[in-house]
Amino acid sequence: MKTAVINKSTSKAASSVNDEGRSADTETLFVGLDWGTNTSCLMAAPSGSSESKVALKEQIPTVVGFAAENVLQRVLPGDAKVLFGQEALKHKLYLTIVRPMSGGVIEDLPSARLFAQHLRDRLNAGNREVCAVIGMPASSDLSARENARRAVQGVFNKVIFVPEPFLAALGYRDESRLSEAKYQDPVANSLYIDIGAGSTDVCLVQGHYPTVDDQLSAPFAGDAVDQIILDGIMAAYPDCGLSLARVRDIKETHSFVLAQDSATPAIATVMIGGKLRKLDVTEQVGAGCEALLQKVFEMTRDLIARADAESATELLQNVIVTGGGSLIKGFGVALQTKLLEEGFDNPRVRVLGENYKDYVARGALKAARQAKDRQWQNLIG
Amino acid sequence: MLAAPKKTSAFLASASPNFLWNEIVRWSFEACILRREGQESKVTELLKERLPSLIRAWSARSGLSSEACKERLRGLFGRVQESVELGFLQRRLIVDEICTRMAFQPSGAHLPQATGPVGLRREVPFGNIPDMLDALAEAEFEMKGEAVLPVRRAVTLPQDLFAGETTAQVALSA
Repeated sequence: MKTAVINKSTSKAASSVNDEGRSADTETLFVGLDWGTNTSCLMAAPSGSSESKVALKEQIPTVVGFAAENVLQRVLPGDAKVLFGQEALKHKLYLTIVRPMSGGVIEDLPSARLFAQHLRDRLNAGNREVCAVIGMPASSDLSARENARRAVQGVFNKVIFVPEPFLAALGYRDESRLSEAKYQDPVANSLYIDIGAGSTDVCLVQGHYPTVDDQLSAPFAGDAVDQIILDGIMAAYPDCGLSLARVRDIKETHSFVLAQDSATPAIATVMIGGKLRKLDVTEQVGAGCEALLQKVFEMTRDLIARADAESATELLQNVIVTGGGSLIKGFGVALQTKLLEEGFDNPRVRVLGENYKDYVARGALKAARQAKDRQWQNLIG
Repeated sequence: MLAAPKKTSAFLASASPNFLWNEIVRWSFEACILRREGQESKVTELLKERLPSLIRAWSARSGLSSEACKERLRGLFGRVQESVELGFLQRRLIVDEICTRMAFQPSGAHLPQATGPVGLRREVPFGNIPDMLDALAEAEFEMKGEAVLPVRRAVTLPQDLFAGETTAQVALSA
């Protein structure tokens, strides 16, 4: 399948799309999408609505479940052949679960297309034109974007792809509070650390969007931590048969980097030889998270060194951690401690926590609202 | 592309003025290319560390007055900038034409694929979302362009900017 990407302002084909039923006076629905490896966040608002209005906000596990052969009738809702998100996870016993994304980019195009169509269905957009700004990992290349375009071709009418750290910063900034004396503008002089599944991106945001020179990216993030944990567990319990997906579940529940947090041990319940066994995997989980902390610390230290010396003091006050890795217990405090031990003056690390997906989607929605008509890429389905 | 080692001060003190001039030409060209690519830290390194010593050494050995040296350097920098800007413009037109023609080719004909992340090559103020989107589109185009027609193959300097130099000296600077 070939994706045709054309610019509306120069394309006859684009005008024919409009001729096919989406007349100029039809309301447009703007969408901000954080298409995450594990969870996606969707926000939408109609054109012309106020900046603060969000008509739809939803977090959906990025999962597609295909019904197994010979599933009894009425076991799956509506005898569906394909389920998505939470519903797919709920019925996973009867489904073949596929995760369309890996490392923040599309791994399985057919299931990604189905998932994208599911997102469109959630919008209840009807015949309205749907224009989506979609976040991409900062380290993603053009082939990853091309795959994403193919996945949403015929699903959304127009798209723009923007690096996720840009969107997180945009979404985190509250323009309505800029006039408040106490409000610290998070894009004035900050360092953003985005720990995703496939890559960790560290960006300097000093009043302008980060250029290639203002960011560091490393292919070491959540997936690498999962692998370290799994390797450690397999070394300690060779016959446990744990899968990477199960390790991810364990990590998401028990991850930590501070010794005091390890007081609550990470216990994995696994079936070995038909018997349930409880394994203490605290050490392995800690080792994986510690490796990530060390990597993030090194990248942060290197990027601070690139910043102008006069701006460094204020910059150190605004180290912001986002992405799935920011959910590791104690990560912010541990990173702050390491920076302090390295000799940086009074660093302050903030962690965006559970809401981090909202910020990317909110930033994407802001971008969608302000994009010029010529900047959208029409997808001819 | 900053792989060539820096010359030692002893080397610079004994190098011929023509050789020094040509080094200045090459590294000013490189600085302009890097600036267009958004690699400001490398530009800063060139402007602070590599070019000043070359300029000092050339000025001392050129036999020209201080004012004449400055005048000649100003002229050089202007022409290098102009050549790079023109080169980028021509390359953009060529790449645009190639991409357009390839889009109408039967399947199976592919352009070389660009690799690496898409990053902004110029600073865009945070409040200006449309400008950021334009800058991203430019960066994406430049990446595709680099795969189709690498900038250092497409953008060249007029040969009259270089002073005559011997083969041995050229080999030394390579």
